Amino acid sequence: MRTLDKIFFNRRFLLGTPGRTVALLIAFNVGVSMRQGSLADARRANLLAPAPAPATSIPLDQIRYDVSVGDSLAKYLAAIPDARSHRLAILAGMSQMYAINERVPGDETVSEHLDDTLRSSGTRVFGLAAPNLDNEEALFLLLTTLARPETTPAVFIYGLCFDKMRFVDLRPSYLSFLRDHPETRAMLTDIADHYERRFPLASSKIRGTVASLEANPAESEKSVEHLLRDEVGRAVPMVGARKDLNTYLLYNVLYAARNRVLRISNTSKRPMIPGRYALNSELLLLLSDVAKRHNVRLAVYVNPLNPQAENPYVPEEYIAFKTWAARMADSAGISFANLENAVPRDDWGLFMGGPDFMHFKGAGHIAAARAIAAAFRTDLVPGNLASPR
Amino acid sequence: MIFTSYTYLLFLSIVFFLHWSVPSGWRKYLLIVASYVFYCTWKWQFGFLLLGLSLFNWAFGRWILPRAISTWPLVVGIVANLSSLIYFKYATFLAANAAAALELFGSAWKPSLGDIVLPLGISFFTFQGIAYLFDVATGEAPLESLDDFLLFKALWPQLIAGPIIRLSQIRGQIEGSRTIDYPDIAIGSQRILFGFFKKVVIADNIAPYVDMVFMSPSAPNFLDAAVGVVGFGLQIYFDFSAYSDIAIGSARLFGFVFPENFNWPYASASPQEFWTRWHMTLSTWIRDYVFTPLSFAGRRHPKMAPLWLLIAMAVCGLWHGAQWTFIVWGLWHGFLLISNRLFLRHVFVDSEDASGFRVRRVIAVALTFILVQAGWILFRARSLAQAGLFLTSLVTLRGGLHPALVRENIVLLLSLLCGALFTAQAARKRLGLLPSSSGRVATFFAWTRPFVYACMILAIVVFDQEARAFVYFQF
Repeated sequence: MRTLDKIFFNRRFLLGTPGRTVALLIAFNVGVSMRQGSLADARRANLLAPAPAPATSIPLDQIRYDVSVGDSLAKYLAAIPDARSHRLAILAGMSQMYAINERVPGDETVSEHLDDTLRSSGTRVFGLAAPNLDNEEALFLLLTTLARPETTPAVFIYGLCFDKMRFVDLRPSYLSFLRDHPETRAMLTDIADHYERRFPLASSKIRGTVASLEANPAESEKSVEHLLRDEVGRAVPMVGARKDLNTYLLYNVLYAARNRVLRISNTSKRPMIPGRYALNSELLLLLSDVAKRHNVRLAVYVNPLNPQAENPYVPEEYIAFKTWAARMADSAGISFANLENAVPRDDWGLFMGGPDFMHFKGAGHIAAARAIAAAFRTDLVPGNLASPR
Repeated sequence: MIFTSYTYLLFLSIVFFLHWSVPSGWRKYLLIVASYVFYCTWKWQFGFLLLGLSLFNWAFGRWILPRAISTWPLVVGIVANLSSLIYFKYATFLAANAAAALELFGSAWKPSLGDIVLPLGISFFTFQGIAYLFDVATGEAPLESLDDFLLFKALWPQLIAGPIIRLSQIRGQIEGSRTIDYPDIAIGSQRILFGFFKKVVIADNIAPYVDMVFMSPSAPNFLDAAVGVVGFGLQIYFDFSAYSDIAIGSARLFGFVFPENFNWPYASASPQEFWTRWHMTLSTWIRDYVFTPLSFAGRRHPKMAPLWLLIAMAVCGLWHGAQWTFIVWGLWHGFLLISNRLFLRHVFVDSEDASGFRVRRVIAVALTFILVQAGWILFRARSLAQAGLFLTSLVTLRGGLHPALVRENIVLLLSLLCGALFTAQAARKRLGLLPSSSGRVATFFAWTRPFVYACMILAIVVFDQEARAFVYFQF
C-alpha cells in the first residue's frame, strides 16, 4: 500500500494532469447534472417522441403504446391487452404514430384513438412504433408479438413510409431485447433458413443480425455488465445521461455541423439507395408471408404526408414506390391503402421553422385513425365499425 | 470479459489495488489467480485447457528439452502444442477440404465434427508456447519455477490477443521484483484511455457500416466496396491497436513492460516496412520461427528464398483463421514482400533513406496503403468469390459514384477519419516532440492535456456501444 500512497498522495498526481482531468470530469458531471432535464427534452425533441407519460404515474395496463418508442420494449410488451380475451391489433410504424406537433393536454396518438374506437366492438389496439422504424424491425416486432399467445395479434397494421426503404438494421435496444429472448432469435433463424431461396437478400440480412449478436454475446439486461452500468449511471450523471448526451452530440452538434457545411435541410432530396431498396422490398414481402403463415392479417398503408410541405423524396422514385407497394399488396393478398392525403392541411404542424412534412397535430391523429379504421374495416372488426371520436 | 467493458475496469481496479497492497511474495499468485478468473469468465472449461498446456510446456521445457540431443523432442513439443490448435481451429476446415478432395475421386464422405467452440486466445497462447519450447531448445534457460511459468503463460493482458510475448522479453519482470512509480501509472492509464477511445469511439462506430457492406449478398457498387474496404482497414487498425494499447497499459500498471505491437502501420512506404509496423510481435514470430528455420533448412538453395517467404506468409494467413481467404491474404502479402524485394525496389522507399524525397515517399505511402487495403478485401470477405466481386467492383468502377448500399454519412466519416489519420501520421514526429518541449509550449500542454483527456473520456462514455468484442478475438 505504501507504493500507492507514494504515487497517489503526492503533489504531482493531485495537482498534475490526473488531478486536473478528474477536476474537469467533476465539472462535466455537475454541468450534466444541472442540464439533465433539458438534455432529456432535447433527446425527445430530436427523436420526435411525445413527452412520454412517466411510468410511475400511469399504470402499465392503461398504457396503449410503447411509450419508450423502442427503448424498453420488454416493459411495454407487458402492457399489450391480452390477445386471448380480445381481438388484438398491433399498429406498427415510425415517429408519425406517436409524435404530436403543438401538443395540448388531452391529445392522443393514432393507436390510442383506434383503441378507443374499436374497444366496444371487442378489438383492442396497441402501438409499437419507433423513430424511423424499418422493415426488418417491423418483422422483428411481428415475431416478438407472435412469440407469446397473449401478445399474438389478429391484425398487424403497418404504416409504410418511403423513408423505411432507406433504413436497415435493428436498433441497439431491439438487439438487446433479442439477446434476452432466444425464442425470438430462434424464430428469426428459422425464417432465414426457410426463405433462403425465395428472399436471399432478406434471409442473409436476418442471418447477419443474429450472427452479430453471437459475435457480441455479452450484455443481456441481466448481465453483470449491464447491472454495473446501471449502478455507475446512478452515481455518475455523465454515465446516467449517456443516451441523452449521445443524441445531443449527434443531432445538435455533429449532424448540425454536417448540415451547415453541406447545406442540407430537412427537405433536401434524398435519392433512394438501390441495394437498400431491394433489401427492404424483400423484407416487406417476407413480412407479409410470415404474417400469413401465422394467420395474422397484415394491413399496410402508405402514410399521410403534408401537402403544404416539400418532402425530401425524389418524385419519380416516390411514385414508383407507391405503385410497387400497391402491386405487391395485391399479389400477396394483403390489405393495402394509400392514406397519403388522409390528414387535412390544417392538422399538420411546424418543424424547424417550416411546415412539418411528416408529423401532425392532435387533430391529425384523429384523422389518421379514422382513415386507418375505414381502410381496414373488415380486418379490424368483422362487422360495422364506429367512427373515431 | 471484454477490455472495454465496465466489468473489466472494475476487475482491473480491484486487482490493481490488491496487488500493490498485499505482501510482495503474494503478488505473483494473485496475478495468476486473477488471470485465470479473467479467462474463465468466458468459458470456465477452457481454463483447464490453458492450465494443461501450461503444465505440459513447463515440464517439457524444464526436463525434456535441456537433455535432448536431437531436434525430435522439440518437434514432439511443437506438435503437442499444435494438436489442440488444429483440433479446435482447423479440424472442420481440414475435414471439409479433405471431403471436397475425396469427392473428386467419387467419395461421398461427409465429415460431421459437430460445432467445435474455439477457445478464446488459443492461437496466441499456442504460438507463445511454441516460441518458448523453440527458445529453450536453442539455448534459452527454461523457467524453473512453475508459478513463474503459469504467470508467463496466463498473464491476462496478453492472454487473449497478444502482444505475443517471448520469454526473453519478460523473464526479468517475472522472476524479479516489480515496482511502479508515477510514470508507470501515467503511461499505463494513458495507453488504456487511448485504447478505449480508439475502440469505442472509432472502431465500433465504423463496424456496422463495414458489416453491412460485407454482409450484403448483392454485388456492391464501387463506392460501397471502397467504403467497405477502407472502413475495414481503419476498423481493424483501430480495433486491434486499441486492444494492444489496453493490454500494454494494463500490464504497465503492474510493473510489466510489454513490447509494442503497432507503430503507425499506414505510414509505411513499402510492404516490407508495413510488416515492421503492423502486429509486430506476430511478424517477428513468423520471421523467427517459420521463415528463418525454413531458410536455414534450404540454405543450399538460395533461389528458393521467395518460396520460404510465401510459405511463411501463408502460415501467417492461416494463423488468422481456417479459411482460404486468410491463406490467400497471407500469400498476397508474401507476393508483395517478394515484389518489394525483387521487382519494385525502386517504387517503394526504404524508411531509412526517405529524407529529401518527400514526394516520392508520399507516393510510396499511398501505394502501400492501397495494396494493403486490397489485401483487407481477402481478409474480411466471407469467401474468395465475394472478394472477387469486391475487386471487380473496384476495378471496373461499378456504378460510378452512386452507392448501392451505403449512405452519405459513412463516406463523410471515413474521409474525415482518413484525413485525420494521415495528418497525424505526417505530423507524428513533431507531435511526439511537443510534450517534452520546454517554456510556453510545455505550459500549454500541461493545461490542455487534462482537457483533451476529459473530452476523450466523455466521448467514450457517450459513444459507448456496450462492450463489442474485439476483431482479433475470433483468431
